[in-house]
Amino acid sequence: MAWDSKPTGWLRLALVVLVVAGIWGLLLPRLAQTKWVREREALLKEHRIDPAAMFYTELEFLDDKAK
Amino acid sequence: MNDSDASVESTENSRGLHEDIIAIIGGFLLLAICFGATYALGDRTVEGETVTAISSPLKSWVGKPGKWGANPLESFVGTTESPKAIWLGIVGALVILGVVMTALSPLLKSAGNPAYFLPGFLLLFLLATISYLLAGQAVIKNYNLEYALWALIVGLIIGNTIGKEAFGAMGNAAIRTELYIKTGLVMLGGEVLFSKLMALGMPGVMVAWIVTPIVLITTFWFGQRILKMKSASLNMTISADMSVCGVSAAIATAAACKAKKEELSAAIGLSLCFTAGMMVVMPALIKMIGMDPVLGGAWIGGTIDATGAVAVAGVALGKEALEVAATVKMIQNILIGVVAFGVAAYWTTRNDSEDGQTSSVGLGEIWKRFPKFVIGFIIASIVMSILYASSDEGSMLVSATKDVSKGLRGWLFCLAFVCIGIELNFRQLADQFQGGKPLVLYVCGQTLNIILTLGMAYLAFKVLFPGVGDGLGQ
Repeated sequence: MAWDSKPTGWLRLALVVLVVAGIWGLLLPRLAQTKWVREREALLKEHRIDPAAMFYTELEFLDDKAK
Repeated sequence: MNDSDASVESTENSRGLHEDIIAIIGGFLLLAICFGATYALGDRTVEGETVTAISSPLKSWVGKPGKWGANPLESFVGTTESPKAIWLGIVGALVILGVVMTALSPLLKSAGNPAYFLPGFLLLFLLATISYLLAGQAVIKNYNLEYALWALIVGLIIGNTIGKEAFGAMGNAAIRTELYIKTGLVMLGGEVLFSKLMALGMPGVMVAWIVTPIVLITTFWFGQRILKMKSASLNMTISADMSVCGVSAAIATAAACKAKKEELSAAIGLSLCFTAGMMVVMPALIKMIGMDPVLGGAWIGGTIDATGAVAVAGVALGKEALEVAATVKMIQNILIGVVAFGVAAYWTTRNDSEDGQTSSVGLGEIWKRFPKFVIGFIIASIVMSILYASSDEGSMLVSATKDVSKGLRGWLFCLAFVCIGIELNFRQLADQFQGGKPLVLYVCGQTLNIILTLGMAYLAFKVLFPGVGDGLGQ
């Protein structure tokens, strides 16, 4: 385990948090505005598809149909 | 999975119960809460004298952070066009799981002190919420990069910067990978309904239930005999997630064959990488060669690992292909219980020595070794399947129960992956890929899967039962 009780551990965590915040706060939101992503999102929404579904019960259209 | 870390703030309780038993109690208790609330307080829509729909009163009280594009707050309150109090569901899930898990923690063999467990659980839940938030970003979500991956990464970041010890006594009490994952699996059993097996008739069964076990067994054999993989449990976990249904199958199989945390993590990483590629390449290839959408859908449903990715790839070919692909995958999802049971049974009866020789194991030893949570999984599945098939109202009750239980199950898996990440370091994870054998195993297994599934789909949908699947989605 790479545990570090010194402030360097927290410093490293703060740096990683900054990088993550940069990607999720700036880069990905910009990508989300692109035409391709918007069209894809609209298609998935229309068909009630959760692209990150792990099990069939998380696919709304399939589960509703099976009820 | 192996979980050997001794903890200071968890005391050995000689009269305590094994984690598997606690997982069964916890899983059944949570399912009972979901079902009981729906049965007693569910909102029934009545037309004439017939109940036509039932919804659970807990539905708005159990949720997870939603999808967001530019503003992460949308995850908790919805968009300005359609505001939703999603945060209420998150708080509700926290309260239900926090109370149940804290109440069960002192009953464990390595008993957790509730005074430490609860604050530790709150911290883990916060990390799980961050994981869901990362997974919910529109671009990330579109590529099927599931919350399990982000929970693992969040845990790894914490574990490899400030370390598990930063949680102190709270971490020792609340970081319980086994408990969360097995309780989640017992709850998942309640979602495995055998009546769904015939949703596409015989063709669906042929693609999902005949090819899948053949690929699973052949890939495992290939890994053991040809690649001579060091770890049989890593081999089995990769073989199952590649042949059955990705992350959920990996979780169930890893727990059944007591794979190490880093092995489960490696298997899931492999599966998600290939899934992201296959969900783009397969529909493009099918379109390029002009394959029939029903056949293409069946091929996609039987080969792409993850359920969500199957739907995304299917819809690229049209509604008909989407219906076939998703239904084949649903039938394959049902196989998860059989696979978990089969793997657990096989693992308890095999006795590999260092030189690979096997010897027989007695019945008492088999029972001692058998992961008992699998029995909880099977019982939950059988009970819910019987209730579902018993009557129209029974099926509505089960469906409404699932609407809530799947949310709680998701949180339990997410918590488990955060814990796995915290307890892992990058070197342990990288070691799993040394020599490239897991990658070779996956590629060879998936190639076999692609060939056999295409052959079986053609035989089932075009030769033996032509016309099945035609017109679906219209």
